[in-house]
Amino acid sequence: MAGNADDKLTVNANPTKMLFISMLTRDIALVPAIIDLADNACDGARRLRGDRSLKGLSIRIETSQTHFKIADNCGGIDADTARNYAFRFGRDEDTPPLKHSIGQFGVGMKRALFKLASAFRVKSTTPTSRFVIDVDVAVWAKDRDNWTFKFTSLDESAKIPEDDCGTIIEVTKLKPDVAAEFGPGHFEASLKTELQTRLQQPLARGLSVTLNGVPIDAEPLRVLADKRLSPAFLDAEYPGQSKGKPVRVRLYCGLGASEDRAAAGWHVFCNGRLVLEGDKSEQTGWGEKRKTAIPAFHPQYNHFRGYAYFDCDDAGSLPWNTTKTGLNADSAVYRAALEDMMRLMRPVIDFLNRLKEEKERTQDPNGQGPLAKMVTDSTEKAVDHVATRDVFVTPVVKQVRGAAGPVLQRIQYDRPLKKVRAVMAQLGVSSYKAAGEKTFDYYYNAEVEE
Amino acid sequence: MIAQPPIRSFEQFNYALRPAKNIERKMMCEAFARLSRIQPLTRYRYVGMGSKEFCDFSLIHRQLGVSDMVSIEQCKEERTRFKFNRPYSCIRMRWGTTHEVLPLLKWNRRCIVWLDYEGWLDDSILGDVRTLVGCLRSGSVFVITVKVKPGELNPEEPDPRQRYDELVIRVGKGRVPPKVTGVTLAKWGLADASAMITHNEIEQAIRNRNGKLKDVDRLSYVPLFNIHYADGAQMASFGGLLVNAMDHARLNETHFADLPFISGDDSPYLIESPVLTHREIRLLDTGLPAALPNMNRPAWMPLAERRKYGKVYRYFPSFSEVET
Repeated sequence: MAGNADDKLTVNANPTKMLFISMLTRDIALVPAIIDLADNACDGARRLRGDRSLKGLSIRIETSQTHFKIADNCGGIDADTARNYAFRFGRDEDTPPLKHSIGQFGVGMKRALFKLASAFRVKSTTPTSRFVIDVDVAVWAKDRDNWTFKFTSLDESAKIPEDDCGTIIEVTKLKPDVAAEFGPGHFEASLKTELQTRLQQPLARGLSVTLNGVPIDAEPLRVLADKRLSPAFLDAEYPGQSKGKPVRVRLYCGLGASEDRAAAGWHVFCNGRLVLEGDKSEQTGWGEKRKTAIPAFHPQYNHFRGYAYFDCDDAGSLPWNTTKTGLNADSAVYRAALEDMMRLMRPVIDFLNRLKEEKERTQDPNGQGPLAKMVTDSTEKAVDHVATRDVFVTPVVKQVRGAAGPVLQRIQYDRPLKKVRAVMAQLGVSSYKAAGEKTFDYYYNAEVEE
Repeated sequence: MIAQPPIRSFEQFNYALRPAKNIERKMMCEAFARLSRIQPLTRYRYVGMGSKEFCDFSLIHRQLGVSDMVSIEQCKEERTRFKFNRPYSCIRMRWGTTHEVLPLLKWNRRCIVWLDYEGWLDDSILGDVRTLVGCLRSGSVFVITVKVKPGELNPEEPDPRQRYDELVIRVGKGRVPPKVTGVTLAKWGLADASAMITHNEIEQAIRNRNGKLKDVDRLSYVPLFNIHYADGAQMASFGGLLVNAMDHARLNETHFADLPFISGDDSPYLIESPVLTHREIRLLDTGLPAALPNMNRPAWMPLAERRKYGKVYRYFPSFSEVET
């Protein structure tokens, strides 16, 4: 009787397998899911090498309409970690932490596998163990209460050279929509671009990444290095989450050579992983409606470059979301950093406003004012190889008016086309601009000039 | 402005004729004629950019009998002049850029669309491709022609990376295939990259459109054209057919196979225009088609020119076709 009464007072709050198989997978797109798998390999590389060069370590990714594979030689998952932690959904407090990792939430690999696969195989080798796990998702889902996977093969007495250690994740049966996506289209190009940007730091440190056999190069982040235009730099430590380790914040704010809109804005990294790319939204301070306002992003700011690096041994203190495609904007660390980001931005924005004014004033469309010339003549360097200063200061230049003639004002107006044509014919000119100039000069000479 | 290569005087005549463009137009027309297996050609609509010459419109109206024709013209200021130059009354003018006009057109007929751009492939052209793939009825064919001459490198510091960066600015990084690098964009490399990017755009757009179609209506893309030529600047044309299963069945696998300029696979077809005098052409004609493919005689005439002529003689512009 008592038992029954207890049962009646118990409410079932167990998770279902479908939550993981078909719900959480909706929160992540295909490309970021694959990058999550690559992040795990990067964590492995970091575990092996610490801050040293990652040369010799590699991640090989293959996609086709029938298969997906990601193979690395970055240390592998040992059998004990696999048994107790790596395949669990979410991370327990007793999970041994990995310093300075990207993986933090204990969802990336599983969510990615469920996103991609109806069936998959994970094969991993470490110096002392090797194992294979095969999972048929539909079969696993049917057994509702059993939350374990079984090793297909396991060897814990192995002695394997370090060079042969690593993990191979192979999708043996792709989900149909994923198979279609891996077919013709821009998928491969966009995955390459994302790998290149998201894994910038490990690539720059020598990690080799290939996609379908094509190597992916590191593209260092660049800023203008001329000492009159050099970026502002701030290096600070903010206290981490609940007595955790401090978060190191490094901010660079300056100019880039190209006016490519995609490169402009703030780029935010957490433990070396790009989380926000070229952000131009309120999240990074643009278009705030406050007194110290930074204007909303506009093409005149296409030269703007901001790089924000957040690093912490405890990845949980970093301001990222679980898909690592955006910020946890409520994070106290991020809110504090945002104040500094906006403070560093203001002088750069002022400079770009002056550059725009200068361009509008310059009468010769091919000619350049002193600020524009300074931007054109300055060379770009990798952001961590450039001399910096505390704040960006707009260089003092003499706007040359004598050589460029008087200050000019553009006039624009509309008149009926027929009449304009008649005026053009009368003047013998072939452009509307010339018609406007000649009629203005005619009036000025006749009626104004003394 | 792209600097033109130096032209030797005897070649100048050919250049003025733009023979490769003329040849391409006739080849396209021959391929379009094969669409009659889907429906009579007279029921097709032709959408193009006729400019002031309307060469493609004249040819397609005369050869195929298409009389529902739309010319998209950006130069609104000279409406009267463009209208005056229309060679046939069945050509309707639509004023504006292609990305303004295409979404406004009615796509209630099967169409033959040829968008002959002057510039490099860019985001706006790919937007037109998406519009076409999103709107065209099954059994329609479309072609785009774009400039594929690689950008000039800075002579003081030649860095092939510049070409890659320019391509990224034009089409966006997420569209540039992983194999493409600055080095691969030299010579006809930009043409190959443009073909891949266009093809990927088409496939992506088809997949999106198929998402809302029933199984029987789902479309597939049959690539037909990957043509390279250079009258002055290097140009390339890419395109093919959009078909559902029923229309696909009307055209069997070998339907276009006998036309040498049809590229079902990735390999491009290069139109090379021979430089020959009219007397030489008349002489070669008397031996054709028997002399194919070796074009052995006459020995005094450069072999390369003979062979080039053999490949295109059926389409080669004769003097009477000079557009005066």
